[in-house]
Amino acid sequence: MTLMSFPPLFRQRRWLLAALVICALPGVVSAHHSFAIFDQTKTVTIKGVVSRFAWTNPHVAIYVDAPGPPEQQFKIETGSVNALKRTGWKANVIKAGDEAEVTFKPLKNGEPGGLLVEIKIGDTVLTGGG
Amino acid sequence: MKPTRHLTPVALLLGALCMALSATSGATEIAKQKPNISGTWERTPDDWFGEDPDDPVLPGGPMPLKEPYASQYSELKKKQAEANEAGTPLATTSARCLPEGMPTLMAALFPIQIIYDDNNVIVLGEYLQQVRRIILNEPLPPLDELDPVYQGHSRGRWQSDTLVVETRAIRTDVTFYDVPHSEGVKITERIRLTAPDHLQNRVTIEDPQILTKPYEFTFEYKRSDYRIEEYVCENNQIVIDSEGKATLKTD
Repeated sequence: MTLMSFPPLFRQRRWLLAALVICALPGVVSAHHSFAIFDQTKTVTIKGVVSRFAWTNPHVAIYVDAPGPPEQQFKIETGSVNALKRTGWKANVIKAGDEAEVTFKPLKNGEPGGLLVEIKIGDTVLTGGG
Repeated sequence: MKPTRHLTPVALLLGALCMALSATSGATEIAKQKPNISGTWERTPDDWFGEDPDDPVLPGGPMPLKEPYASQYSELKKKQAEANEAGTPLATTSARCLPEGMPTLMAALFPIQIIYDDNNVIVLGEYLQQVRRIILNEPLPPLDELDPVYQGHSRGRWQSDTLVVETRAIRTDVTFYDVPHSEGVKITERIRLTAPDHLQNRVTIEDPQILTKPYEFTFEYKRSDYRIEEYVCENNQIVIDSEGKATLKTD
Protein backbone atom coordinates (compact mmCIF):
# COMPACT_ATOMS: atom_id res chain seq x y z
CA MET A 1 0.00 0.00 0.00
CA THR A 2 1.42 3.40 -0.87
CA LEU A 3 1.09 6.59 1.11
CA MET A 4 -1.67 7.73 -1.22
CA SER A 5 -3.94 4.74 -0.75
CA PHE A 6 -5.70 5.56 2.50
CA PRO A 7 -8.84 3.73 3.46
CA PRO A 8 -12.07 5.70 2.91
CA LEU A 9 -12.65 6.18 6.64
CA PHE A 10 -9.41 8.03 6.99
CA ARG A 11 -10.22 10.29 4.08
CA GLN A 12 -13.45 11.24 5.81
CA ARG A 13 -11.73 12.28 9.01
CA ARG A 14 -8.72 13.84 7.37
CA TRP A 15 -10.43 17.21 6.97
CA LEU A 16 -10.57 17.50 10.71
CA LEU A 17 -6.85 17.52 10.91
CA ALA A 18 -5.62 19.00 7.67
CA ALA A 19 -5.15 22.46 9.14
CA LEU A 20 -3.50 21.31 12.32
CA VAL A 21 0.15 21.94 12.85
CA ILE A 22 0.63 21.06 16.46
CA CYS A 23 3.37 21.92 18.87
CA ALA A 24 3.31 20.38 22.35
CA LEU A 25 5.19 22.08 25.15
CA PRO A 26 8.59 20.53 25.81
CA GLY A 27 7.87 20.67 29.50
CA VAL A 28 4.94 18.36 29.02
CA VAL A 29 7.27 15.55 28.04
CA SER A 30 9.77 16.33 30.75
CA ALA A 31 7.01 16.25 33.38
CA HIS A 32 7.21 12.50 33.36
CA HIS A 33 10.70 11.70 32.17
CA SER A 34 13.79 13.41 30.88
CA PHE A 35 14.39 14.37 27.25
CA ALA A 36 17.91 13.04 27.64
CA ILE A 37 17.01 9.54 26.46
CA PHE A 38 16.63 11.07 22.99
CA ASP A 39 19.40 12.42 20.77
CA GLN A 40 18.26 15.96 20.08
CA THR A 41 21.10 16.50 17.59
CA LYS A 42 19.76 13.91 15.15
CA THR A 43 16.57 13.68 13.15
CA VAL A 44 15.44 10.46 11.48
CA THR A 45 12.59 9.95 9.02
CA ILE A 46 11.02 6.58 8.27
CA LYS A 47 8.05 5.36 6.26
CA GLY A 48 5.90 2.49 7.37
CA VAL A 49 2.57 1.25 8.59
CA VAL A 50 1.16 2.04 12.02
CA SER A 51 0.79 -1.26 13.84
CA ARG A 52 -0.46 0.20 17.14
CA PHE A 53 -1.50 3.60 18.47
CA ALA A 54 -1.36 3.77 22.26
CA TRP A 55 -3.53 6.69 23.36
CA THR A 56 -2.30 6.51 26.92
CA ASN A 57 -0.70 8.48 29.71
CA PRO A 58 1.93 9.37 30.66
CA HIS A 59 2.80 9.33 26.96
CA VAL A 60 1.12 8.61 23.68
CA ALA A 61 3.07 6.11 21.58
CA ILE A 62 2.92 5.22 17.92
CA TYR A 63 4.32 1.86 16.82
CA VAL A 64 5.36 1.88 13.18
CA ASP A 65 6.47 -1.14 11.16
CA ALA A 66 9.07 -0.04 8.63
CA PRO A 67 9.96 -2.39 5.78
CA GLY A 68 13.66 -1.55 6.01
CA PRO A 69 15.93 -3.21 5.36
CA PRO A 70 16.19 -4.24 8.02
CA GLU A 71 12.50 -4.64 8.75
CA GLN A 72 11.91 -3.05 12.15
CA GLN A 73 9.21 -1.83 14.45
CA PHE A 74 9.82 1.70 15.74
CA LYS A 75 8.26 3.02 18.90
CA ILE A 76 7.68 6.74 18.60
CA GLU A 77 6.77 8.56 21.78
CA THR A 78 5.11 11.93 22.12
CA GLY A 79 3.33 14.02 24.79
CA SER A 80 0.59 13.11 27.23
CA VAL A 81 -3.01 12.54 26.19
CA ASN A 82 -3.95 15.71 28.07
CA ALA A 83 -1.42 17.93 26.36
CA LEU A 84 -2.05 16.54 22.90
CA LYS A 85 -5.83 16.83 23.22
CA ARG A 86 -5.40 20.53 23.84
CA THR A 87 -3.69 20.83 20.50
CA GLY A 88 -6.31 18.90 18.55
CA TRP A 89 -5.24 15.27 18.78
CA LYS A 90 -7.92 12.68 19.50
CA ALA A 91 -7.92 8.99 20.28
CA ASN A 92 -8.79 8.25 16.67
CA VAL A 93 -6.42 10.59 14.83
CA ILE A 94 -4.15 7.65 14.05
CA LYS A 95 -5.23 4.07 13.48
CA ALA A 96 -3.50 0.76 13.02
CA GLY A 97 -3.03 0.29 9.30
CA ASP A 98 -2.40 3.94 8.54
CA GLU A 99 0.56 4.50 6.26
CA ALA A 100 2.79 7.15 7.73
CA GLU A 101 5.96 9.09 7.29
CA VAL A 102 7.41 9.73 10.72
CA THR A 103 10.17 12.12 11.71
CA PHE A 104 11.67 11.76 15.17
CA LYS A 105 14.63 12.33 17.45
CA PRO A 106 16.14 8.86 17.89
CA LEU A 107 16.86 7.09 21.16
CA LYS A 108 20.47 7.54 22.19
CA ASN A 109 20.83 3.84 22.93
CA GLY A 110 20.27 2.95 19.28
CA GLU A 111 17.04 1.06 19.87
CA PRO A 112 14.41 1.59 17.14
CA GLY A 113 12.41 4.44 18.55
CA GLY A 114 12.41 8.08 19.43
CA LEU A 115 10.58 11.29 20.22
CA LEU A 116 8.03 12.42 17.66
CA VAL A 117 8.79 15.53 15.68
CA GLU A 118 6.16 15.05 13.01
CA ILE A 119 3.94 12.37 11.54
CA LYS A 120 2.47 12.72 8.05
CA ILE A 121 -0.48 10.61 7.03
CA GLY A 122 -1.52 11.76 3.60
CA ASP A 123 -1.94 15.51 3.79
CA THR A 124 -2.39 15.43 7.52
CA VAL A 125 0.55 16.61 9.58
CA LEU A 126 0.66 16.14 13.34
CA THR A 127 3.50 17.30 15.50
CA GLY A 128 4.09 17.03 19.19
CA GLY A 129 6.37 16.22 21.99
CA GLY A 130 9.29 18.50 21.17
CA MET B 1 -59.80 36.68 59.30
CA LYS B 2 -57.95 38.37 56.48
CA PRO B 3 -54.30 39.14 57.10
CA THR B 4 -54.66 42.64 55.72
CA ARG B 5 -56.71 43.60 58.70
CA HIS B 6 -53.48 43.58 60.79
CA LEU B 7 -51.42 45.76 58.46
CA THR B 8 -51.43 48.83 60.61
CA PRO B 9 -49.13 51.77 59.88
CA VAL B 10 -46.84 50.53 62.69
CA ALA B 11 -46.61 47.11 61.08
CA LEU B 12 -45.85 48.66 57.73
CA LEU B 13 -43.12 50.73 59.32
CA LEU B 14 -41.63 47.61 60.95
CA GLY B 15 -41.77 45.79 57.62
CA ALA B 16 -39.92 48.58 55.89
CA LEU B 17 -37.34 48.58 58.67
CA CYS B 18 -36.85 44.82 58.31
CA MET B 19 -36.39 45.17 54.57
CA ALA B 20 -33.81 47.89 55.10
CA LEU B 21 -31.97 45.77 57.66
CA SER B 22 -32.12 42.82 55.31
CA ALA B 23 -30.59 44.91 52.52
CA THR B 24 -27.84 46.07 54.86
CA SER B 25 -27.22 42.50 55.90
CA GLY B 26 -26.99 41.46 52.24
CA ALA B 27 -24.43 44.15 51.57
CA THR B 28 -22.44 42.95 54.56
CA GLU B 29 -22.52 39.41 53.20
CA ILE B 30 -21.25 40.64 49.87
CA ALA B 31 -18.48 42.51 51.63
CA LYS B 32 -17.60 39.33 53.48
CA GLN B 33 -17.37 37.30 50.29
CA LYS B 34 -13.90 36.04 49.62
CA PRO B 35 -12.06 36.80 46.40
CA ASN B 36 -13.09 34.40 43.67
CA ILE B 37 -10.08 32.15 43.44
CA SER B 38 -12.20 29.24 42.18
CA GLY B 39 -11.42 28.09 38.70
CA THR B 40 -8.71 26.64 36.54
CA TRP B 41 -5.33 28.30 36.65
CA GLU B 42 -2.25 28.06 34.44
CA ARG B 43 1.18 29.47 35.07
CA THR B 44 2.17 32.71 33.46
CA PRO B 45 4.19 34.02 31.69
CA ASP B 46 4.20 31.19 29.15
CA ASP B 47 7.99 30.84 29.19
CA TRP B 48 8.16 30.36 32.96
CA PHE B 49 9.66 26.90 32.58
CA GLY B 50 12.79 28.07 30.78
CA GLU B 51 14.26 26.76 27.54
CA ASP B 52 15.66 23.40 28.59
CA PRO B 53 13.24 20.94 30.23
CA ASP B 54 16.25 19.12 31.72
CA ASP B 55 17.52 22.33 33.28
CA PRO B 56 14.44 24.19 34.50
CA VAL B 57 14.64 27.67 35.96
CA LEU B 58 14.26 27.76 39.74
CA PRO B 59 11.52 30.22 40.62
CA GLY B 60 13.50 32.11 43.26
CA GLY B 61 17.01 31.64 41.90
CA PRO B 62 19.53 29.20 43.37
CA MET B 63 18.43 27.78 46.71
CA PRO B 64 20.61 28.79 49.69
CA LEU B 65 21.74 25.33 50.74
CA LYS B 66 23.76 24.50 53.81
CA GLU B 67 26.46 21.87 53.80
CA PRO B 68 26.48 18.99 53.16
CA TYR B 69 23.35 19.60 51.07
CA ALA B 70 25.02 22.12 48.77
CA SER B 71 27.79 19.63 47.93
CA GLN B 72 25.29 16.80 47.55
CA TYR B 73 23.21 18.94 45.18
CA SER B 74 26.28 19.78 43.08
CA GLU B 75 27.23 16.11 42.95
CA LEU B 76 23.69 15.19 41.90
CA LYS B 77 23.76 17.76 39.10
CA LYS B 78 27.07 16.33 37.90
CA LYS B 79 25.69 12.78 37.94
CA GLN B 80 22.55 13.94 36.15
CA ALA B 81 24.61 15.60 33.42
CA GLU B 82 26.68 12.44 32.91
CA ALA B 83 23.57 10.24 32.89
CA ASN B 84 21.83 12.58 30.45
CA GLU B 85 24.83 12.54 28.14
CA ALA B 86 24.72 8.73 28.17
CA GLY B 87 21.00 8.76 27.38
CA THR B 88 20.10 7.10 30.68
CA PRO B 89 18.81 9.99 32.82
CA LEU B 90 18.35 9.50 36.53
CA ALA B 91 14.73 8.65 37.21
CA THR B 92 12.64 11.14 39.14
CA THR B 93 9.60 10.32 41.24
CA SER B 94 7.50 11.47 38.29
CA ALA B 95 9.14 8.81 36.12
CA ARG B 96 7.66 6.33 38.62
CA CYS B 97 4.25 8.04 38.28
CA LEU B 98 4.37 9.18 41.91
CA PRO B 99 2.80 12.51 42.90
CA GLU B 100 4.87 15.67 42.58
CA GLY B 101 3.95 16.72 46.12
CA MET B 102 4.36 20.14 47.66
CA PRO B 103 5.27 22.71 46.58
CA THR B 104 5.79 21.34 43.05
CA LEU B 105 2.05 20.77 42.62
CA MET B 106 1.56 24.52 42.90
CA ALA B 107 4.14 25.08 40.15
CA ALA B 108 1.33 23.90 37.87
CA LEU B 109 3.29 22.30 35.08
CA PHE B 110 -0.15 21.06 34.12
CA PRO B 111 -3.18 23.22 35.01
CA ILE B 112 -4.55 23.28 38.53
CA GLN B 113 -8.13 23.85 39.64
CA ILE B 114 -9.12 25.52 42.90
CA ILE B 115 -12.49 24.86 44.55
CA TYR B 116 -13.40 26.27 47.95
CA ASP B 117 -16.09 26.79 50.53
CA ASP B 118 -16.08 28.19 54.04
CA ASN B 119 -14.16 25.25 55.48
CA ASN B 120 -11.86 23.95 52.75
CA VAL B 121 -9.81 24.96 49.76
CA ILE B 122 -9.21 22.07 47.38
CA VAL B 123 -6.47 22.16 44.77
CA LEU B 124 -6.77 19.63 41.96
CA GLY B 125 -3.72 19.08 39.80
CA GLU B 126 -4.35 17.62 36.36
CA TYR B 127 -0.96 15.94 36.29
CA LEU B 128 -1.33 12.53 37.96
CA GLN B 129 -4.73 13.60 39.34
CA GLN B 130 -3.20 15.07 42.47
CA VAL B 131 -5.44 16.42 45.23
CA ARG B 132 -4.44 18.87 47.92
CA ARG B 133 -6.76 19.76 50.78
CA ILE B 134 -6.32 23.00 52.70
CA ILE B 135 -8.45 23.07 55.86
CA LEU B 136 -9.52 26.54 56.92
CA ASN B 137 -9.71 28.25 60.29
CA GLU B 138 -8.15 25.67 62.52
CA PRO B 139 -4.57 25.32 63.74
CA LEU B 140 -2.16 22.72 62.45
CA PRO B 141 -1.72 19.86 64.90
CA PRO B 142 1.75 19.48 66.39
CA LEU B 143 4.24 18.18 63.82
CA ASP B 144 4.77 14.87 65.63
CA GLU B 145 1.05 14.12 65.28
CA LEU B 146 1.12 14.45 61.49
CA ASP B 147 1.99 11.58 59.18
CA PRO B 148 4.19 12.77 56.33
CA VAL B 149 2.32 12.77 53.00
CA TYR B 150 3.10 13.95 49.47
CA GLN B 151 1.12 17.20 49.63
CA GLY B 152 1.77 17.79 53.33
CA HIS B 153 -0.90 18.90 55.79
CA SER B 154 -2.21 22.39 55.11
CA ARG B 155 -4.20 24.84 57.19
CA GLY B 156 -5.35 28.17 55.85
CA ARG B 157 -7.07 31.37 56.87
CA TRP B 158 -8.23 34.44 55.06
CA GLN B 159 -6.43 37.64 56.00
CA SER B 160 -8.40 40.32 54.20
CA ASP B 161 -8.05 39.46 50.51
CA THR B 162 -5.22 36.96 51.02
CA LEU B 163 -5.43 33.24 51.74
CA VAL B 164 -2.53 32.41 54.02
CA VAL B 165 -1.65 28.72 54.08
CA GLU B 166 0.85 26.85 56.20
CA THR B 167 1.95 23.39 55.14
CA ARG B 168 3.98 20.87 57.11
CA ALA B 169 4.74 17.14 57.24
CA ILE B 170 5.70 16.63 53.61
CA ARG B 171 7.31 13.27 52.86
CA THR B 172 11.08 13.60 52.78
CA ASP B 173 11.31 11.69 49.49
CA VAL B 174 9.50 14.62 47.84
CA THR B 175 11.97 17.08 46.34
CA PHE B 176 11.60 20.53 44.85
CA TYR B 177 13.78 21.02 41.77
CA ASP B 178 15.89 18.12 43.09
CA VAL B 179 16.43 19.86 46.42
CA PRO B 180 15.49 17.80 49.48
CA HIS B 181 13.83 19.04 52.64
CA SER B 182 13.90 17.98 56.26
CA GLU B 183 11.08 16.64 58.39
CA GLY B 184 10.76 20.11 59.89
CA VAL B 185 10.15 22.01 56.64
CA LYS B 186 7.42 24.65 56.70
CA ILE B 187 5.88 26.18 53.61
CA THR B 188 3.87 29.38 53.87
CA GLU B 189 1.81 30.58 50.93
CA ARG B 190 0.10 33.91 50.51
CA ILE B 191 -2.46 33.51 47.73
CA ARG B 192 -4.42 36.46 46.38
CA LEU B 193 -6.02 37.79 43.26
CA THR B 194 -4.09 40.70 41.80
CA ALA B 195 -6.74 41.03 39.07
CA PRO B 196 -9.97 39.13 38.46
CA ASP B 197 -8.12 36.67 36.20
CA HIS B 198 -4.67 36.78 37.75
CA LEU B 199 -3.69 34.81 40.83
CA GLN B 200 -0.48 35.27 42.78
CA ASN B 201 1.05 32.78 45.19
CA ARG B 202 3.96 34.11 47.26
CA VAL B 203 5.72 31.09 48.71
CA THR B 204 8.24 30.88 51.52
CA ILE B 205 10.06 27.66 52.37
CA GLU B 206 11.58 27.59 55.83
CA ASP B 207 13.90 24.71 56.58
CA PRO B 208 16.76 25.68 58.90
CA GLN B 209 18.31 22.23 58.66
CA ILE B 210 18.74 22.49 54.87
CA LEU B 211 18.61 26.21 54.03
CA THR B 212 20.79 29.08 55.25
CA LYS B 213 17.74 31.35 55.04
CA PRO B 214 14.10 31.08 53.96
CA TYR B 215 13.68 30.54 50.22
CA GLU B 216 11.10 32.86 48.69
CA PHE B 217 9.53 32.93 45.28
CA THR B 218 6.25 33.76 43.56
CA PHE B 219 4.07 31.67 41.27
CA GLU B 220 1.85 33.73 38.98
CA TYR B 221 -1.22 32.18 37.35
CA LYS B 222 -3.70 33.22 34.70
CA ARG B 223 -7.33 32.12 34.76
CA SER B 224 -8.14 29.53 32.10
CA ASP B 225 -11.34 28.22 30.56
CA TYR B 226 -9.71 24.80 30.19
CA ARG B 227 -11.55 21.92 31.83
CA ILE B 228 -9.19 19.63 33.63
CA GLU B 229 -9.26 16.08 32.32
CA GLU B 230 -8.56 12.65 33.70
CA TYR B 231 -4.88 11.71 33.92
CA VAL B 232 -4.15 8.12 34.85
CA CYS B 233 -0.54 7.04 34.50
CA GLU B 234 -1.57 3.64 33.20
CA ASN B 235 1.13 2.97 30.64
CA ASN B 236 4.46 3.90 32.16
CA GLN B 237 7.07 2.81 29.64
CA ILE B 238 10.10 3.80 31.69
CA VAL B 239 12.38 1.06 32.96
CA ILE B 240 14.52 2.00 35.94
CA ASP B 241 17.66 -0.01 36.70
CA SER B 242 19.29 -0.66 40.07
CA GLU B 243 21.30 2.59 39.76
CA GLY B 244 18.12 4.60 39.23
CA LYS B 245 18.82 5.18 35.54
CA ALA B 246 15.90 5.33 33.15
CA THR B 247 15.44 3.85 29.71
CA LEU B 248 12.41 3.57 27.47
CA LYS B 249 10.78 0.24 26.67
CA THR B 250 10.53 -0.26 22.95
CA ASP B 251 8.37 -3.37 22.80
